[in-house]
Amino acid sequence: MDLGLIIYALNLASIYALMAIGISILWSSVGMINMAHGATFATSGYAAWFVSGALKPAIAATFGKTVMASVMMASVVMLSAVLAGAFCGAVIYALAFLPIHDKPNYSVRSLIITLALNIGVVQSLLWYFGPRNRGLPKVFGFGRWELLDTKIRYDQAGTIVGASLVMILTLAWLRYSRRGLEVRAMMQNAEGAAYSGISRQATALPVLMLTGALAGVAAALLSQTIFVSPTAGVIPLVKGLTIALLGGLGSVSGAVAAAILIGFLEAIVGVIPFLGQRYVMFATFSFIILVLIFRPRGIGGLLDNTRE
Amino acid sequence: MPEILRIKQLSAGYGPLRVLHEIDFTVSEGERIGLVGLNGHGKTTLIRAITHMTGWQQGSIKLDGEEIGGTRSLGAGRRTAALVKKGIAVAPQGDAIFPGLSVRKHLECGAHTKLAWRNRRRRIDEILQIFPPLRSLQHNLVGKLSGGERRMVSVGRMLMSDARLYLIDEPSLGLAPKISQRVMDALWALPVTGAMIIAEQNVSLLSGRADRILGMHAGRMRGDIGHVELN
Amino acid sequence: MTVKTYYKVRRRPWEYKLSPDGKVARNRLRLPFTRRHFLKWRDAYNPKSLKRERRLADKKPLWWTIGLLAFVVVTPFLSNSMISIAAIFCIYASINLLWTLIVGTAGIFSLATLAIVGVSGYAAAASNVFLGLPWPFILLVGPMVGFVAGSILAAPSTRLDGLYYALLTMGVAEICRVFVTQLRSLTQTNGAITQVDSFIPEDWFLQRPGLLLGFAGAFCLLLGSLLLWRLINSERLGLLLRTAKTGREDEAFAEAVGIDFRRARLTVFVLSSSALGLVGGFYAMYFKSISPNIFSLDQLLLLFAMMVIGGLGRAEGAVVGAAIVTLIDKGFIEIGPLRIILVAAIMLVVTIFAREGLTGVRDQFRDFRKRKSGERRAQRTEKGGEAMPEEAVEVHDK
Repeated sequence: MDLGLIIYALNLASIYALMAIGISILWSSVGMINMAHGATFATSGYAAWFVSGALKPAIAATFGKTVMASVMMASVVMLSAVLAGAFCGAVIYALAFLPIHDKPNYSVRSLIITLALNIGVVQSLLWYFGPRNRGLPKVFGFGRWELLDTKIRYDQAGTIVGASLVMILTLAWLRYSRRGLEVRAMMQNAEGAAYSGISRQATALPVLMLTGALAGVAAALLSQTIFVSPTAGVIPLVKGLTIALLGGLGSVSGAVAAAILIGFLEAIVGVIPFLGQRYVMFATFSFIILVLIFRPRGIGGLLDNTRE
Repeated sequence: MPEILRIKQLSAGYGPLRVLHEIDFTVSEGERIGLVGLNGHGKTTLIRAITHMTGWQQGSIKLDGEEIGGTRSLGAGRRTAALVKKGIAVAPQGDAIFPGLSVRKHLECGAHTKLAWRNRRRRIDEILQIFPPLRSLQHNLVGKLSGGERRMVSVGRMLMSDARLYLIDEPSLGLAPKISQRVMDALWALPVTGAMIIAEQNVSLLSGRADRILGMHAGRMRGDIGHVELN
Repeated sequence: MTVKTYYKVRRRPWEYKLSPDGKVARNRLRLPFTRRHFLKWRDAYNPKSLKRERRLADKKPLWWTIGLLAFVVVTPFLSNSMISIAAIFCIYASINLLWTLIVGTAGIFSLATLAIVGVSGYAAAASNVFLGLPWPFILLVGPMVGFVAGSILAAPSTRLDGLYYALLTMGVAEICRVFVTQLRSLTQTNGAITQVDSFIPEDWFLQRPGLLLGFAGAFCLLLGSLLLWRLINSERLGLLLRTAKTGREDEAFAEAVGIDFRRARLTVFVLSSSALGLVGGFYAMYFKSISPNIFSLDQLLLLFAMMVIGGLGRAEGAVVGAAIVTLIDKGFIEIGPLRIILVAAIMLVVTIFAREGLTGVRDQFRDFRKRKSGERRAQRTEKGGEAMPEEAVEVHDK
């Protein structure tokens, strides 16, 4: 295994982990399987494309062709994606959480509503923007480093570093802030949280916005490698869901471990000559089925057992 | 003494089943009240109804003279957090603990008022003073503690913020007599500003210390039964 | 003097009433060779008029009969495209019914329904095209393959939790799709098997008689699925499974009273899978071809939308939902992607407001009305309202 492969695997893993952590946190704190995560992903991609397209002339006029211009462009792309993701999270909160969170069949119904949202949003994007792929401006610029005889593209390195940074920030927020403490308390015992003055409705909104923003970051980062398109969210959604499940729903560390496992698996399957890219999904699912046969609740239980 | 809690004609239950029937009682400032009754006679339901964990449609509950409203328009459990913020502190039955947090973090969860959050370190240290066995365990996960230690954590979490009304449900349930005695001693030793209601089956733990002991039977309030042995 | 106001205590669902002659003995029609009756008549004495009354307790069979009869009578007079939509509706409705058996009755959250249909359809089509078996054998090969596939898939269902099993079955569907598209012998047709023999003669295909024949076959398929639904869900297996329906505690209870619910679940799963295999064979014959599209996620989501709109776990929900979604999806092809948005919007609205889909709205409204009237009564009563439980008013001998 050479360094290029490892970088590629880590690149995949970081995107998947961003998606999976969002799904995992949301499930354990709000009790919702968010099928609209893919729609959030696609919408944030489009928002970044739209905003950066609209602001391009303005930035070019103010900064010219300086380094400042590309920095501004990068921050515009990231910021618009994050804001759009958080906005999607708020919409999901208003439609799939608030009306039904204390009604019967909440978990199934929220799954169905988010699924419907996902289908509706993807089709609306398809209808409005058309199926054409759109390229985002390169946040990290073009070019590559030479390191130990392998070429590392800027966008790959940037994705890995950026995603890790965002994840570390998220985990630190969960770990050290007051809100994060509330979210963790609600993840572990909803009734106890209510007795501690932590309201479910008030905590669910920041959680949904946070996970939406994570999907937005993932969209902005992945769009450095592939294009923005209406159906771009489907594969990250499926991957995120499977990885969150594989990691044992609700376990953040399990999700990260599973994302790294699957990232490496895909990278390796992709370069094996007689398998190739076409068998990547095949191999992933075979691996997951194998794991589930031996560990019916995913690999999360190996790492922590915080939920009773 | 000003009134803290006034319950009038409260009836509550689960679905069509009515568990509490026309409960009437008041609690004044500084009072510590024992709520005594056998299993299944409505002690826990009363406490859950006060905190809106169990739905009730009839009667009225006033906290500091302010009506806290029935659960007709909103589902049960939806306003519990808001009521806790208004000044009802609860140590529920079964402890409702967060198994993945350390003892200190767990206690921090109870600091929901601004003041308590600012002084959380000092308050945690105070609570560790009240429950000495927790001092050596303060960085352990709560999920790994024994039943008695969990109960202390739960009661400690309740004490983190200043409240008007403290509700403690069965502090001796499932504990060895010695440990339950210790938890009780700690509860009586507390400098409490508001009022306290302790639901308990074992009347001997309350007898001689509670200001009043109210009996509950078949979902009805029996009034002050005095300090006698319950049969 | 205070005026006493009287309130209506309760409302009863309106019932069909006959007033038979009290002297004539009751003679009830039975289904041949069974002890079952066609309709559930209930005999009762009216406590006011003291007369004998006969009430129809369960009106569902009537609605089913009227609906299906109207459907089969009206369809032949419709346009060609509507007839094919009706036939496709029948196929989707049967798949949905069988899926409802798996999800609702057996409580196994499987997403491999279409995968089983596809696998058996492929096997049946291949047996016809590559092995040269005549078309009636398709209807034999399909269920056999479905049985085998169901048995394999059923094995992990007792071990895995709901969501994990859903993930596993989704993985199986994806594996099937990749496998079929990669098959060397099918590369010219993008993984599809075409030129499958059918019960519709070659020169009738896509002609009016052929369409009518296809519709007749599809309708028989729907009737068969309804029969299987009835046989499984309303008979012994369904009764056994209803004890272990909702959760861990129920399962423990069922186990404690000696019901082997796992075995019952597996039986239902395997039976439904065999039937799905039959549907797969029929599908290949009806379209004279089968393509990897059947394993795709979009198709699965469309079927799921049908079940959700109609009401998960109910036979009428599966059929009503299939009717609505098929009509939108195939009937308004000219509006393009808007129709999927429409389906999603219906799904959203129905799920937000209805507890159990469109067919559950009536029950939900009744529950709501009952609760409200109960609350009002409790408020009126003197002495804080020792309100009777809602059910008590229905009891004759208080």
